[in-house]
Amino acid sequence: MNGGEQLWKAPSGSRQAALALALVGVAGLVLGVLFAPDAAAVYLLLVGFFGVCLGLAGALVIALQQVTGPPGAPCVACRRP
Amino acid sequence: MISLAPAGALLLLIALFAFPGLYPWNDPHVHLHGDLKHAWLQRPFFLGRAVAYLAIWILPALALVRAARRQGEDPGPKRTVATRRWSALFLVLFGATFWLACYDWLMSREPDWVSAIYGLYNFAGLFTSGLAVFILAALWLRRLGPYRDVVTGEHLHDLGKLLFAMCVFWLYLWFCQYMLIWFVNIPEETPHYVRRMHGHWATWFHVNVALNGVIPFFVLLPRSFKRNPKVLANVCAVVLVGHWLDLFLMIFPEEHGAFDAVVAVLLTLGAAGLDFLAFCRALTRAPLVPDGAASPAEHWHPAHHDGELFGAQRHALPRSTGGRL
Repeated sequence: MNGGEQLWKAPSGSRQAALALALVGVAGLVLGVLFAPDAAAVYLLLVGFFGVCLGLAGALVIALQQVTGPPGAPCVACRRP
Repeated sequence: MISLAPAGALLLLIALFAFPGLYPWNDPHVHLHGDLKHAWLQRPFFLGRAVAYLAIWILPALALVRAARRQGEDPGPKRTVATRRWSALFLVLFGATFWLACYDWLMSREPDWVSAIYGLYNFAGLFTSGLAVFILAALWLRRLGPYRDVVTGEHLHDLGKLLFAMCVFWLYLWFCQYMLIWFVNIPEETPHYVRRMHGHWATWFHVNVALNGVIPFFVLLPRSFKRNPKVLANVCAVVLVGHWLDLFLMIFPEEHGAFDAVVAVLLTLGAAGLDFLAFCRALTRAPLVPDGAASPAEHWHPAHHDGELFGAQRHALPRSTGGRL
């Protein structure tokens, strides 16, 4: 079991809180669709775009690190800078 | 962090497909200036592009993560080549399409307004908020244990400097966009700012600049603050709230009543919960600190191994690379 699995399976309040928040979001979506569809659409667009941006930022960090490497880092194979 | 993209894409697609009223150009009575704009903003084409953008970002990004995990298990040249190829492909696809997606999803809410710097401005926001989440995740994992000996004060200092630089970059682009529109002062461009600088919107307009530019700039200036986990975490939280507000101002919702604010709060909390669940779930799929991977302070230098130096491993490289990385 890696460190992430330990965190995930540990009896922590974080996961329950996140699940509760996700359910609050579902309730908000249902309420919004029923009583304020314009607001529901706008805020879905906002949080969806924000989530996509955060995910893409993660991919960008990996991709840039792979292509450029840290500045001045020694070579993995021959240790030359 | 990449696991946040599919969760966000799901919410985004629901908004785009289920609510055509989001965009005024869906109304047949709205006249768009220019044939190209008219052809570009047709609903079937718009929805097709949205699916295509998400697919060509998320699929290579997931392949990149898979390749990077394999590289962690086996840091040889073959895995490095694969990871680099996916990295290069992702960077090219992302760079070529992100500005178009920003134009489609955000700027077309005001179809008569145009800003040439809009894509770059959104990229600055993306990278700054992504970096803030990255730092918060590193601090969280350090506090819980897995990164206690991995993330040092030097790392925090470097991340703080990077966040400082990105906040200054965002502020620079914000000023460039505002200053050029103010200076040129033509009726096609100024309404965008006029609407956001009057009434109670003016408060949010100025708070946006403070949260994303002014506060991080002054707080992250001293060296000691960049190395202090509590200060850094608070600045990251400010930056995240700031970029939510920046997007809010770009999307500029019409107001229909107090219930809108309730929906905004509930949906934002829900998205935060969904993102946190996706993030924690992704943590379980690979070791948090890969055993076989090179140290983050090391890198593969292909120029050192062009020819005889790395002759033995050249045979392990794919033939299509010609034995070169």
